[in-house]
Amino acid sequence: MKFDTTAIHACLPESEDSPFTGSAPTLELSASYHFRDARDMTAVANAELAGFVYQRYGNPTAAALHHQMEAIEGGGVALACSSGMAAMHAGLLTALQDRPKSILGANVLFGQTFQLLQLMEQQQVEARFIDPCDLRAVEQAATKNPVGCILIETVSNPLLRVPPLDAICDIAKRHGARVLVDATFTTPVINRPFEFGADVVVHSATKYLSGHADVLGGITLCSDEQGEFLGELGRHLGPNLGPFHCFLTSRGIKTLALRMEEHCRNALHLARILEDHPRVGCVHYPGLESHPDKAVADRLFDCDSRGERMYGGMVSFELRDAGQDETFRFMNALKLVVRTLSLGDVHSLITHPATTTHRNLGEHRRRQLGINDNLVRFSVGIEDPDDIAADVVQAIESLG
Amino acid sequence: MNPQTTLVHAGDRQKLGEYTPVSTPVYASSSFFYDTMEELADVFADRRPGETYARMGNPSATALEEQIMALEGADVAHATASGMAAVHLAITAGLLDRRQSIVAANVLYGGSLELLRSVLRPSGITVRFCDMCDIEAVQRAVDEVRPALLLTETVSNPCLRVADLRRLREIATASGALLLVDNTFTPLLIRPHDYGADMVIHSATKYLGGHGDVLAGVVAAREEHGEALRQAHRCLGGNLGPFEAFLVMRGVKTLALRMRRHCSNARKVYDRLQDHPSVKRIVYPGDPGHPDAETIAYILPGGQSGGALGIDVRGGEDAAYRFMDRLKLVKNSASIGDLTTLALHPASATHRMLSKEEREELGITDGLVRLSVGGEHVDDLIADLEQALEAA
Repeated sequence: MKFDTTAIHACLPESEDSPFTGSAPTLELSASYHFRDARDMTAVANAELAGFVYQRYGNPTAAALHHQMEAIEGGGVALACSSGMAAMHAGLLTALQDRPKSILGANVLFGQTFQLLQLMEQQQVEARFIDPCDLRAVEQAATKNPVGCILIETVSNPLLRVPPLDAICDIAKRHGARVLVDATFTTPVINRPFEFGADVVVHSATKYLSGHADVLGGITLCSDEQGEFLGELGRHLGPNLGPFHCFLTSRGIKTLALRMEEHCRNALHLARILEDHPRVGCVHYPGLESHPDKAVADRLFDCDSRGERMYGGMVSFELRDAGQDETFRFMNALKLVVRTLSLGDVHSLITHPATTTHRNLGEHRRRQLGINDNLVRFSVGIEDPDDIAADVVQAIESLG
Repeated sequence: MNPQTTLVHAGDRQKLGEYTPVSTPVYASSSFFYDTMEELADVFADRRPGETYARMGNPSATALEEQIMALEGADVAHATASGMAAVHLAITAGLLDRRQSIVAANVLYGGSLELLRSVLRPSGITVRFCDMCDIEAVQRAVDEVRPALLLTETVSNPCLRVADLRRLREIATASGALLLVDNTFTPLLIRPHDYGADMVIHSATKYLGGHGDVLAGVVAAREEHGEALRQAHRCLGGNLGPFEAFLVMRGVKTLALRMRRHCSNARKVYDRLQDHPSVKRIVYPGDPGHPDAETIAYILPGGQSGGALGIDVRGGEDAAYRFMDRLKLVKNSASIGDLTTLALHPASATHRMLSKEEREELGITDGLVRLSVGGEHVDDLIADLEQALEAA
């Protein structure tokens, strides 16, 4: 079955006992379940009998979303979490199960992920950072000290580098480490990390998966072997995603294929226009010939229903010779594009990483990484591509 | 601005104090309060904007209504608890202070027919049914009944006849009638206001909501009908709840993408199955031999022929049932407009109350299976239909 079909059908209830089933997942709000016979409750709690006992242990709406995610990622066991960060935390703990408590992380990560690693350092988890696009550096770091987990993003935030996931998985295997991939920017429409050897996959479901700026959620997926451990984490730590947000995320995934194709096509269109504009400095987009990881993206990313390669819906770019003030003036001049955080929404939106998502890195570190004051991160929506480009160009040209 | 753009933004981002939520909140409040009685009195007297009581207006529903106005190019819109509540609201508002008579299409959705026959007619309203695609018959009915309203669907169910809205507008104008159009089958593809419709009705349960998880309706209209609609809506109380309004609005944001997929999938199914040995004929507005081809040429241009089609399976009811029982991916269901492809046997379901002769006259043969083509990958869809046709 093709992706689009699976995404629509995998969350629908199938029951052989009932002559009818609903056209949508049931929104099941019960915190707990009542049993006529106490022995049944024990049997369900011990998984000897199918059913539900208590929402943190399992909920039908969450189960529908889990099934849908497992189907579109091509396997594994899913846990829906209350945010992308909760999913990252559960993912890191899963990746480190029975492994040295040492994480080798990409040097450019979502700012909050950095801070989570700092928090975990207080819990005796060591974190080191390398450029994951430099395979020699990855190999050296993995050889020098034991590594339990290599942590990367399929597309880095905000500079949109594409690390060679397949080669990194090879290195990790040789050193007995697991690979945790944050696949928020690509989604399973573009790339399914398990196919390249990843062990744990994490999504901020707030972004493309739900897609409508109305859900805070995350998904962690791991191999079948670690499924029980991940389930236990869910029960002990309690980061569960509420049934209402599970329902909305499932609903979002039904249009995920349609939306991602549109996001990607629109992003490529915008990136090409920006690249040719004299007021724009560097444009970061993996689909541009000028991007250092274009060949890696061509190898790892899938094509859309028209056979065109998808490179994601995010474009980052610098305004030539602009400081923060002028960059803000540009952002304020946008009429259609929404100035906000987050990404992956149906509407186009723009973020200033230096003062928001990557503020806590400090100026020195930002400079080092190339997150300059004139850099903006653009999440390209599903609007008409000409309308998006027209708004960006008029805002650039309003600067004079 | 392209509608694909407008529908992603319309209605959202109303300022809420110092900040603006990116997506419209679900306002569960049944009522709203003000710091002073003077303010409340001003809102009630329409001297300042504001909310009072959810039946009069709820910000979640208002946001959806703005989005629907953008979709339909209308001046006012009202969200209702179901498609039937929308039909009832439009008719009630349309009949206010006018002759109590209606000329309606004889192939309206069964629920609409029942409303006209079993509720409105017994309450003293003259209702005349006629074939809306036979313009002379419409003219005769209008001359005889002198109706206040002409009520039609853009595309009829399940025979997929397409109404000539330009001609119907001419007839309505000449006789002083309002033109009410149910656009449930063709949102975004047809904008009835562009052809002079007075009110446009949707069952938002279908393509607008689009995910099979909400029951809702909308009426969109020109400014001159705003007061009558507002009045009727407040009295009838068929309001849409805030949560449902939120879900419909969320659906409409992907409407352009979904309709494009529904249309292209339906066309590919038609192309693939039209010569299939088990298929007698396919009823589809994209068929060049369709009886309303002239209307279709101007009203559904560019090959966007909608997401519905009817497969007349050789061998009558038995063959149709065998075909439907064998479907795996396609679900047997009474609704349309879902991302999931749905199949229905009109002769034994929606149109079972008609006699066999009446059905045959309308073209609802025993072998006819209506498909609401979903958003799946078309290869999976065709594979399922072909394997099931083997059983027929």
